[in-house]
Amino acid sequence: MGEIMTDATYMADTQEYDTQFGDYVDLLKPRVMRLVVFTAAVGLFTAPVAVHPVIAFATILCIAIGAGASGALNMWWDADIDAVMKRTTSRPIPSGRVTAGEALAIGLTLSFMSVMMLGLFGNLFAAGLLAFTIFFYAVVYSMWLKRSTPHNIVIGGAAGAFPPMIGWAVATGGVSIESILMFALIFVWTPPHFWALALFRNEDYKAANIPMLPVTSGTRVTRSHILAYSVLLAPIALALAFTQIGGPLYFAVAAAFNAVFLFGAFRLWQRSDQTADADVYRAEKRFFMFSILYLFVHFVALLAEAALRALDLGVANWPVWF
Amino acid sequence: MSGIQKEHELHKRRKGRNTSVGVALALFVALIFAVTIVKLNQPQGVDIKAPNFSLDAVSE
Repeated sequence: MGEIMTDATYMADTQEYDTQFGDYVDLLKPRVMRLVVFTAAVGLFTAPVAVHPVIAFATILCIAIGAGASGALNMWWDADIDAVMKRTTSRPIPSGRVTAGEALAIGLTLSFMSVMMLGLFGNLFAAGLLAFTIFFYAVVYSMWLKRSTPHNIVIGGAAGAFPPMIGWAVATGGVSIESILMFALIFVWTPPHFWALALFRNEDYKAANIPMLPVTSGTRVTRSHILAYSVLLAPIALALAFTQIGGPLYFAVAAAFNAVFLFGAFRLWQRSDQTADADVYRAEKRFFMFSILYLFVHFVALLAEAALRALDLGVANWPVWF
Repeated sequence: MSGIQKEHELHKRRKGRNTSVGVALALFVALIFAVTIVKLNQPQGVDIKAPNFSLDAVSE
């Protein structure tokens, strides 16, 4: 039977901490959102179809909110393991700032809203891709793969790779080799990036019982996998140079950064756990930080090529093979 | 008199959060208004960004 709620009973029921607006924003993983906004914007602005600035802003906002919503759903589902891992204990749910129910409600509401608004602001194809991305990250990666296979990050990486493809779809209404290669660049970059992190955060993943590659197969296998994926990544990054959105500037940047990336992966492959322990995983940490710069610089170079073409400063006889 | 008073302590504590939600909703309304104006000024029938909309459908 319900009770009449007075001020007194209401005050007795309230928690000591009042959730602030910023706590809800933290649920959306703002740092991941920044990368999503940037890569989606590059996908949109490098496309051969011009988009009105207001539409561009509105659609990128939808993609960012959609990505944030999937982050909130991920935090709702993973609250138990977030509480165990050092890296994630300060997240809104394990730190007690937001309840799991609130995270679920915000995640579902914003997922629905972002997909619907992207369909209205942009087009149905882009909205469908965003819906699939949210489903992939929240259900396929978080609920299914993350706790069941050491290749969680390989397949799950697709979720983070979709934003430039969605941005491209907003402008063109479809998919093409350029957007597939931008997708592939992030998709193949994700495993070496996260495995480098997993090498020096191994204890965290062990404690949370997450089957990351260093936990299940050991660091030797992980180092080999980092090298293998880095070798696979280089031709994908270079292939983008020979599409409609590439050019000599992008080619020069990609060649230089892939050479450094490959050298870094080779050095990690050579190292043993004893060497890594001795210098507190210095090379692994540097490789991880460099991998963030690597991805950022590739997309900046694509944006620069688009700007050069817009100013009629592009190289006219640059070979386009794809 | 029972019920939540106008100047209840709860209102003061939650002022920041409520203001932020209000601002976010106002910005959302402004965004929809801006997009509507832009869309109405574009040739929608041939606009690749709106393949679900055509002038033929309107004229039927």
